[in-house]
Amino acid sequence: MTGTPEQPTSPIRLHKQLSAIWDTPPGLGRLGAVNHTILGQRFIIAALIFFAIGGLLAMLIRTQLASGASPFMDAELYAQVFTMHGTIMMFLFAIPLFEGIAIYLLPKLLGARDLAFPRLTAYGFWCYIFGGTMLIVALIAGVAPDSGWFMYTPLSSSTYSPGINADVWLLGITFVEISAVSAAVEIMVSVLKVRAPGMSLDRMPIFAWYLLVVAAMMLIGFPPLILGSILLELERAFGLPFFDPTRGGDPLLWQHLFWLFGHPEVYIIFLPAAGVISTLIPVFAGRALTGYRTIVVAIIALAFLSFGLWVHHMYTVGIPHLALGFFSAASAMAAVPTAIQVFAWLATLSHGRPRLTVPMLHIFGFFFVFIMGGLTGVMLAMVPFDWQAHDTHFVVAHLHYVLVGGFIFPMLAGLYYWLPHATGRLAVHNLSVPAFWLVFGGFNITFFIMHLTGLRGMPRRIHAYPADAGWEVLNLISSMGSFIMTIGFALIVVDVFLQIRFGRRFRRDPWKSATLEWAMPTPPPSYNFAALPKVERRADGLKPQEIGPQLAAGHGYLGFVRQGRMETLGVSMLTGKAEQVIILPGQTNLPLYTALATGCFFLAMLFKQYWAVPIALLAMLALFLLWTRVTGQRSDTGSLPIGMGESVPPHAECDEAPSWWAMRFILTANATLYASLLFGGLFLWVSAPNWPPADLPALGIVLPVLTALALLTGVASGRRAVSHYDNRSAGWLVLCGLAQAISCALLVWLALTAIPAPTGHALSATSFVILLYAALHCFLATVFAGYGLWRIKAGYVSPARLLDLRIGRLWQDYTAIAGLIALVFVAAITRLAAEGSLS
Amino acid sequence: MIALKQPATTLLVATGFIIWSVAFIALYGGNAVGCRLGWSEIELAGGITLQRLMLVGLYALSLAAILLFSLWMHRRYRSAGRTSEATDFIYRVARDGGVAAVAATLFCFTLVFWLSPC
Amino acid sequence: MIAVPLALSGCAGNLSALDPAGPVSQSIAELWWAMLLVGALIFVLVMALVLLTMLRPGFGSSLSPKGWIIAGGLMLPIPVITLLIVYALMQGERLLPLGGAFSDTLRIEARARQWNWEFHYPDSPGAPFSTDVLHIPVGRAIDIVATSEDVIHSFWVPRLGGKIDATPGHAAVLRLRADQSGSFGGLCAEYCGTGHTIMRFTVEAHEPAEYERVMQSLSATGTQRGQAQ
Repeated sequence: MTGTPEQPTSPIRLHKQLSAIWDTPPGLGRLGAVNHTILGQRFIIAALIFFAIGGLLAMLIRTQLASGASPFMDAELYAQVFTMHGTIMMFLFAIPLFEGIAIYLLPKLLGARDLAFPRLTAYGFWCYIFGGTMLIVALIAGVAPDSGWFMYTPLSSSTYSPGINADVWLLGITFVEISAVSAAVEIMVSVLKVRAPGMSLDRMPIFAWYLLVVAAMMLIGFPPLILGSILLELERAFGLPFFDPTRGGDPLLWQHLFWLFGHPEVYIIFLPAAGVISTLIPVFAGRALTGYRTIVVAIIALAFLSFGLWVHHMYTVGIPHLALGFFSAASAMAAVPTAIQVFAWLATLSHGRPRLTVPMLHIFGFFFVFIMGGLTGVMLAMVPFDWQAHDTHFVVAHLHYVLVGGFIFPMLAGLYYWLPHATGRLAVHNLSVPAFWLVFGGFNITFFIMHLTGLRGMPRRIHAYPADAGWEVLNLISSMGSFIMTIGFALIVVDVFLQIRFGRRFRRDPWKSATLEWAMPTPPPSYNFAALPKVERRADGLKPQEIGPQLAAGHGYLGFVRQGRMETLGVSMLTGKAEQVIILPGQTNLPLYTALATGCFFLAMLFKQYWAVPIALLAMLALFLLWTRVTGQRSDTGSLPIGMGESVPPHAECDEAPSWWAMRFILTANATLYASLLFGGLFLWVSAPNWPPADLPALGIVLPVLTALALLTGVASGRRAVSHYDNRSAGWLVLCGLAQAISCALLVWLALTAIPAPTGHALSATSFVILLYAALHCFLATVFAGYGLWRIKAGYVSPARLLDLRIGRLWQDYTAIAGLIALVFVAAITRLAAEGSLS
Repeated sequence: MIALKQPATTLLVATGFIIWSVAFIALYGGNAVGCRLGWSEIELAGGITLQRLMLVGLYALSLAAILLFSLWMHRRYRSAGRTSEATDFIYRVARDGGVAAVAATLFCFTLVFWLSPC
Repeated sequence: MIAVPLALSGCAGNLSALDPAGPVSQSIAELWWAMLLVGALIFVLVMALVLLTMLRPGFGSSLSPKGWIIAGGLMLPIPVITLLIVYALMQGERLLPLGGAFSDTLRIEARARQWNWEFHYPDSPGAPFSTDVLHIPVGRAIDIVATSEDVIHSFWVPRLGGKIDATPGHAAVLRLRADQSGSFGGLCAEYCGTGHTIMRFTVEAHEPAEYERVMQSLSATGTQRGQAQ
């Protein structure tokens, strides 16, 4: 019988049973780890190592600039150093560090045993490590990217950067971004679906709201960068001119795509840090956070505003004043939701009894540094002032105030707060305090003075400067400050090691916190909670001291093991009612192998071994299909008891299984990428020089109509197979697969024959890529149809278990829409271009 | 009253600003396309250009849409019959988000009456 | 300790945006000093609140949490940013090359390439040009039309006004005016490759008669070079 849980006799026995299922085995077994605690720690440690590398590069920069004509580095090496400093800090440190913290904490805060997709976490981790390694190896080999961390074309194009340096950036960063997008999907689904029963949205700890908003921002924010990287790599590798102004491309398109990602990115980094502040301040003020609902509104507003201000990096390119006005106003307005948060925190402190602890010291550092960064941010949002300050050291100072204030100090506060959680030990030394003051003082000495350096005319990214410019003393002070700051960071490292090694053990919840992550033994067991809690009030006003022992004794949901399976609960999105038993997959090396195949793809692209590219891609596809071998079930089980007198079905028999939501979010990210591509096409028509081209695409009528019919047949039959599941469904899926294969072939044929040489003009290149994008989706739609067939034949599908087919149907729907839009868009933009040639 | 499923209800919290974003894209994109097609040169009655008219029209439309949405949320919140604390919470966040989006629209886009479009 | 070099060096300098020599940079510098003043006040106010709430338990608890959020989150920032944005956009309308305040402009093309600047004077007889030295007449508005032959550069003369990017395939316009004669430093502000550091130029602002004379001599050398080729 599947439904009968084995009741353990004692907490120790339950602990042993759960550990046997959830623990990661030692030795080589570690490579197959999928546990969120372990992977979260790995993410954090890796990010800190990259932070050390990036910090070292910063030291090199400050050494170079300490005097005006330093013989330390030449221009070429300096270019690699400042490019890699920015790249590492943004992509290999800040984003992964927050991902690591989210991965480690989220299930613990939400009262779950793991994230929704443990293997995806592992895959994301390997992609991050391999992509990051590519960049570091390039740095050691002396072929690191050298066009600045925002890689402006045409400087980064093959004409002006002929080596592989720029390819390392484009491919390595895209590789790393896979982990960001997968983390975004993971966090979205976990927050929305994988919570403790009773935790409705309004009862979530505030940190979960922050992470939800940030994950949504990542789904929308990263695709434009990924698209930009793909297009630039296509231009560099195959000569498709998207950014080359001599062939109808436009360097400004890159700037738009980059900053459409790049500005939300700043808030993607800041918001999780603000979430940490919102979590810590109530603990140390000894009272609940004030203005919970207002903060939720504020962060949603901030998330959207952050997408409306990317052009404030582009005030000097000559954009119409009205357009600048929109962005300038949105930039200034971002100050309002930020101020609301700041004053909600102050109100919390004011109405509580603040305890001055080491985390609070760092929170003070946050207030001081971040507020100054915010104020200079509002200054830079003013168009005329930015004309002067743009690309000077004023901006360098500003961005370090924002990022160090808005990220590093909150993260240090979080580090000191949660380190005892991970190690089970409390600090005994007071090294933390001088370490803080060294970092804080060193930082301000370095960067405060830099505002003036910038206003006195020092531009970014120069490796030498004339003595008569009057920048030497200022730079020397900055350099000295930076060394003080480094000593502070070194002291923090020592402090952390001492704490891990010699810290004092504690029973439970040393900070008198109010959230669920402390309602477990520390260091945390692999399964988090021996039983899952029932949440009956807001989950940042709980008493871990009382809840912890009860859960450890198995009093709660799922306080037992069932058939050796890894189980956690899924809830309905809004009300938090228990809805499904999510059965998680166990240890496996498949994420590692898949990431290796992904790495082969990127290496083949990097070293221009294009014959290997399709092989690597097919290997990836095959490996991903192998992931599904252990998911799903071959018979209907109906409702399973989950304890507390409740029963819910397993996720395979539930309408809103996590993987179904994951597909929706993946398609959201995908649609953003596609929309960016279409926007790019329109933008080139509006803005790029050398339009229209001599040769225009000529799709004709017959082939597009046939393609549209094939697409519609595919989607209709795909839908029919799921909507009334019966013994003819397999047949419908065959038809669907065939139709999609035909659409794929027709789209490829159109791309190859109806479009003039894609290397000749941006219009052809854009049309070509749009049609191939649609063709790729048709190909994958065929794969999904085939997958559905296989799952039917293998017995995984029944009228109650339609999950595999329903996920496929989402893809079929999207493919049809994307394909039809592709046909219409190419025809329309050709028409627009042709009319331009008449006038 | 229209019945919404839980995911759709959840999405309400962002709807005010989703409309704001659409307005942003429409105004920014519309302005660029208008400049490209020379609409700022086409003068209608009273010295108002076609460009300006289009921008003001888009502005009014988006403002009305967000206002309506906020009102709708307000009424839903008032008359929700207290189905659950969770839905009440969502309606309030959605309404306040709508009000914030109205403020953002006024603050960012009222410029269409004033600044040089091309 | 920090204050000493600050006081010694002040804000002067041949590349200092805080040492304006024309109406554009002057008005932007005024905006900066105003923003600095307001910003400093806000910073001191908020930090005082941070320290008081952290160190003095009970400070401000007579104001309700809602009161805190409304006062600090809405009433403090909204008037400030509203005034600021209106002022800055009015200034933008005035400074942009849209006709208006300074008409009768002189057009000069700044053609950037890795890593020097070539200035062309289509409004002067013989359409002369100069390299890495830009000649302008004092007291007359200049429209700099910035273009690039290769990568993106950015034209910047901090003492005269803001920057304008020189983007290949685009021509962007910046309006400047020098109110005093003399020599001002200029540089490329956008990273443009290994020569970015050395991509500087000088602006020579001449009295009008002197400017005409410089143009004539430039035309003459230009013609001579043309004949030699």
